[in-house]
Amino acid sequence: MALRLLPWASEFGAGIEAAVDPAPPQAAEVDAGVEHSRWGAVAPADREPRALRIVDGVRRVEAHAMEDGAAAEPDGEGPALGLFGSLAVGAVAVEPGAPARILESTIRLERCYVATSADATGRVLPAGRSELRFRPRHAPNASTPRDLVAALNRAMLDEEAVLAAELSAAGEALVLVDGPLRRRRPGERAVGYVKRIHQWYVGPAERAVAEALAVGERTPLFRIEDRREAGRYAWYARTAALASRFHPLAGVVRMECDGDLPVAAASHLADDATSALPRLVPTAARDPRAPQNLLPVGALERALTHRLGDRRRVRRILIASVGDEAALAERSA
Amino acid sequence: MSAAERAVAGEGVGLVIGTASQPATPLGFWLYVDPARTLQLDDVVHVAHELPEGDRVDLYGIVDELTAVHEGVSFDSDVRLVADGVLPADTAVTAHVAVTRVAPEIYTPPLPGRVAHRARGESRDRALSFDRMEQHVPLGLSRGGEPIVGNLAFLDGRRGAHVNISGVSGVATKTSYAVFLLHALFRSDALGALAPNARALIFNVKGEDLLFLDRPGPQLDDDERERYRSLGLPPEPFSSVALYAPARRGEHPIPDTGSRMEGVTGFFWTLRDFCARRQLRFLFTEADDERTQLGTVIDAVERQLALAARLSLPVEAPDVEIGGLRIRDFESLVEAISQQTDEAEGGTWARRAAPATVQAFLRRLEASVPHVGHLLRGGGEADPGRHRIDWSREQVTVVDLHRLHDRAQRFVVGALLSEVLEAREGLSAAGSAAPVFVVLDELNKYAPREGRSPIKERILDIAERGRSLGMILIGAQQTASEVEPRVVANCSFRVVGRLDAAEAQRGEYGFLTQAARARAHLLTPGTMIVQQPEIPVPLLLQFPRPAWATRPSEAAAPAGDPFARFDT
Repeated sequence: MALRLLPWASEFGAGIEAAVDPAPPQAAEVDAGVEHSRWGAVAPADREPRALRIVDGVRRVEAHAMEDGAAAEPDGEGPALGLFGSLAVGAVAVEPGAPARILESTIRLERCYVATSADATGRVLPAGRSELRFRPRHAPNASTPRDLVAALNRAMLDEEAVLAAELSAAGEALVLVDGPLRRRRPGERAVGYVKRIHQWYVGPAERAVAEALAVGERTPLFRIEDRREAGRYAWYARTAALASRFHPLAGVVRMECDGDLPVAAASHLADDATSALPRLVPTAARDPRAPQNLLPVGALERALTHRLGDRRRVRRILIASVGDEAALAERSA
Repeated sequence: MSAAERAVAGEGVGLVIGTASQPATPLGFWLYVDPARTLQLDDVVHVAHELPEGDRVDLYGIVDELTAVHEGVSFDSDVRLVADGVLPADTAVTAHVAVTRVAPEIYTPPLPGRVAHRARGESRDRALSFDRMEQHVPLGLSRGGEPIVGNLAFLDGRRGAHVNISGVSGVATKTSYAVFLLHALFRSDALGALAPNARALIFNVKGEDLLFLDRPGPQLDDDERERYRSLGLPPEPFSSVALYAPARRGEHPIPDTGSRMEGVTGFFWTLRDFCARRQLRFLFTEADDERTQLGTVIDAVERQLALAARLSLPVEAPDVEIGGLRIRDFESLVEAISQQTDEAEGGTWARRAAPATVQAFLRRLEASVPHVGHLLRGGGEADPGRHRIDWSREQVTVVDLHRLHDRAQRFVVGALLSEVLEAREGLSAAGSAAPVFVVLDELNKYAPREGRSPIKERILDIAERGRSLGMILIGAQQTASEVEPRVVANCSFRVVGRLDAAEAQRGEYGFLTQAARARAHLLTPGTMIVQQPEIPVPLLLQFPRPAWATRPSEAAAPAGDPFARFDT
């Protein structure tokens, strides 16, 4: 058995986190024969590079909070938890013959106060000449701060999915979204780009095909039906050839598209996406999640994070104004 | 409308940046340049800002550095990814503005986000303090074609005086700029009523370029004429020029020039003048002469010569009588001096000096005979009055030295500067007199940093007192670092043409900003950097091509009688 490294910097996890049990219980139902009954590498024919829209988002927890108001009432449930968070989503346009550019009009910045209680209110805090407006968001099933973080993350992913669907409807460009598709109708040009392998959807024989892919090749489509109502088409594609000290699956990503598409349309989309990727791959020197984390995504994330504002400043504003508000409440009581 | 949108909408050229790495300060700040605009070096900008108390402060400045970066990239190699269209990045051009003026003088930094405008017209005049100058002297044009002027009060002696020009020979166009300055002084209305009586004395030390100042040069194209026009100067040669060249050896003192004889006067001094004006010392101008005991001998001999000149009759004769002998040429004068000083021959003029010193004195004196003998005459056919250099006759007097031996050059410079100084000192109310401008190249030779010499003393005298005497030195040299610092320090205007890279780093050029230093070794002929007292940053300017001829091939023969000015 050969020992190989996985290329990501360790603080980002493994990159391949599927269980090693050779026959894990599959949560989803998989049909590996939708496109080709026999699996082998699919090399998309040479094609005109297609315009791409790459959607991504960032989110940041600004501060955790606790609300005591409800405990005073007779049937009070105890303290409610809250979280001040910021999120931003946006898209990069990568088009043949033009400089890559961040699409200013797609950038959405939201600040929210995610709370366990349904009647949480938002906060508008003065910040110099402007203000920070935290909108209330109820996280129904949350009971721990970790749940609130997950809710903030979901809010970001939802925004990404909405933006992806809009971009898919708005033009001819292929829309790449970070992570699995989440919506019932993700958009017919939307492709989910899954950096991390969480689950083996196919058996060892098919996996061997994925490992043997050359750069720019993909596996045949396979169909995934899971608890979500929508089925999806998925495939593995190789974005980069790494040195032999790294595991052959390390340069492989999984992608997926809307399961309601005709198979031929899905194949076409898969070919376009597969051939678009290799030129977007960063070197290990510039990205700790190389080769999976695409170049424009890294730049977009930096730009979006920048839009969230200076983290220390936001925190100071929260400390200053929320404290004032408490003082104000005490005085009026 | 946001400030950023306003800037883009056409009101401004950029916005003031304020980040930890590029903070705005009262004396300099950075601009983010509107991507739809171009700002270039030397552009003049204006930022208005309002203080919390309500006062409005106008900051003016000049762009002295520009940078362009890709924002959002972290590695140098990212430029390739951006160029390939893979990595999104913004291009940001930033401009550093060196503040030239703050009005009113409330020194506060402009707040980040303020809109910067290009300063034009009156705003530009304020930025460069032109509005504070009562009388303007055109100095040249900015690269944008706008005039750059200087304050006459700092040039004519009222508040300051003197110009110093540095630069590599051949490309720095030092002399051309000095002559252009004279043209600007005489032909603009700067000098006003004093202009007709203002004079210039130019020592021509290289080539015969300056012997054609009165002749039109090659036809100027429309652009050049336009440049003259915008400076308010006529594109014409000098109209009042006297040209002198050393008299040729031999009986007839015809001018010793290579290319032009006509209109050029061969000059010499009479032996009487030489003795009476105590010019002997200018034959001993090697830097080490003063350190030896020679000085006392020279003084003693000069005294005796002056006395002899006074006693020789008739007073208008060009020769002198020493020890009963009529002295008609310099060689005889040297012989007579030799007899009078050498104790072995019964000489009494230098009795107090050691014999070795006297011998050294005589050795040097004799060595000078072949070099200056023809410039000091006691008789002959010529009328000596027509061959003295009369620098007050015409507006511009050019004295050609370039064919003279170094020793003779020093003698002529020393003797003439002395004469001009004496003439100025003789004026009672010097303050109201029209100024005399003296153009002297190779200051490093005449007023070197080290050592003492009679010429250096004269030049120092002019540098330090010339202001009150209305005697203005326009000095030039390759390297200011080799010139007596007091001479350079007294100059109100410092001008730099192309500089050697190492020279540009010397302390003498401290008035140049870092950016200006870097540019000084890129300057092309016709481009200078000028520093003047009222503007805190040096300005880069260009001056038009000369409207006068600078070489024989260019000089068209004057219309009319070609012999009209022939002179012997």
